[in-house]
Amino acid sequence: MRNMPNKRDIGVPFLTMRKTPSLVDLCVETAIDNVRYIGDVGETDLHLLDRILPHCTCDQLMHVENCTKGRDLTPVTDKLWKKFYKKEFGEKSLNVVIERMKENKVAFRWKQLYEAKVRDLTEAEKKTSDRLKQLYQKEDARKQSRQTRLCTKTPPSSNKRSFGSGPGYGLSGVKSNLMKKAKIDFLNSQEVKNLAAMRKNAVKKTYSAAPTIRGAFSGKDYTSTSFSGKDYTSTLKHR
Amino acid sequence: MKKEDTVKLISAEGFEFVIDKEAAMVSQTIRNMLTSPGSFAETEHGEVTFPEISTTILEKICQYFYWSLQYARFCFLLLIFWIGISV
Repeated sequence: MRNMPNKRDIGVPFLTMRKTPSLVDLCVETAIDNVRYIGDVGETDLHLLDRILPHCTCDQLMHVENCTKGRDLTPVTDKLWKKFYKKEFGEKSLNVVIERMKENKVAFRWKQLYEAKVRDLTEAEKKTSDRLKQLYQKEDARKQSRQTRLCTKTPPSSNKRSFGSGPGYGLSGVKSNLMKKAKIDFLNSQEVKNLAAMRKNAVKKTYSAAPTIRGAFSGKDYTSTSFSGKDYTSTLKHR
Repeated sequence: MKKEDTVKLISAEGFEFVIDKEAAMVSQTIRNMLTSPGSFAETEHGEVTFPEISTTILEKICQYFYWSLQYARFCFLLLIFWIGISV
């Protein structure tokens, strides 16, 4: 007798050697495969739901229970909700709840306990996020208050601001008539006129300084038409 | 298909499904109805009425009967094949 072929070589026969699945089995398997589409289960027998519903996720089970109106699925779903509670919130929390129910001699459905716990957690989360948001807003406001801002208000004009060098002093800041008269007299005085003339001469001299340098190189008297200035020709002649 | 080898299944709406006796025998209920001692209408005429089963459901049931026969034959053949290899 040859060696027995291993499972990988044969594959299918080992699977098909089971009893022929009944129509009920086929239907249950199809329902399990499509459990995400199940809503209202109607009057389906509990022993069938017992086989199908354990394959649901938490959301799917919630959907089934909400869609199935007029029928209490607790005999099937209570143990499933207990399993979900333990998975989501831990065994410790589960034991605490069981203890409390024992002490108070009450028995709640595990679906209600699950929903209550989820509600508590979302409320706590919301409170924390609100507090955090407020803290951020407070900090933001504090930063904003310390920023420099542009303002449209202009500082008032002041008499003391306008000052100049001696003779250049104008009449713009003077308000009193007496003072105005005094200023006019001062500006018209000989000393101010002399100072103004001296300034003008100084400007003209610096202006005429550049061309005299060129004239010196030629060494002869000549008049130039490029510069229109009486002083230019007069300085050349003096040489 | 000879008449002796067939069975008629009648739905609630009056639809008649004529299937092989072998296929109908997949169901223990029908088997009992057809092979029970005593002369019932079912044994005499080879007809079974299902007043609670709708036509669509009965159609699926008939399809299941044939599928079940094929499944059993296939398993049997595979078993023979496997034994043949191992021997």
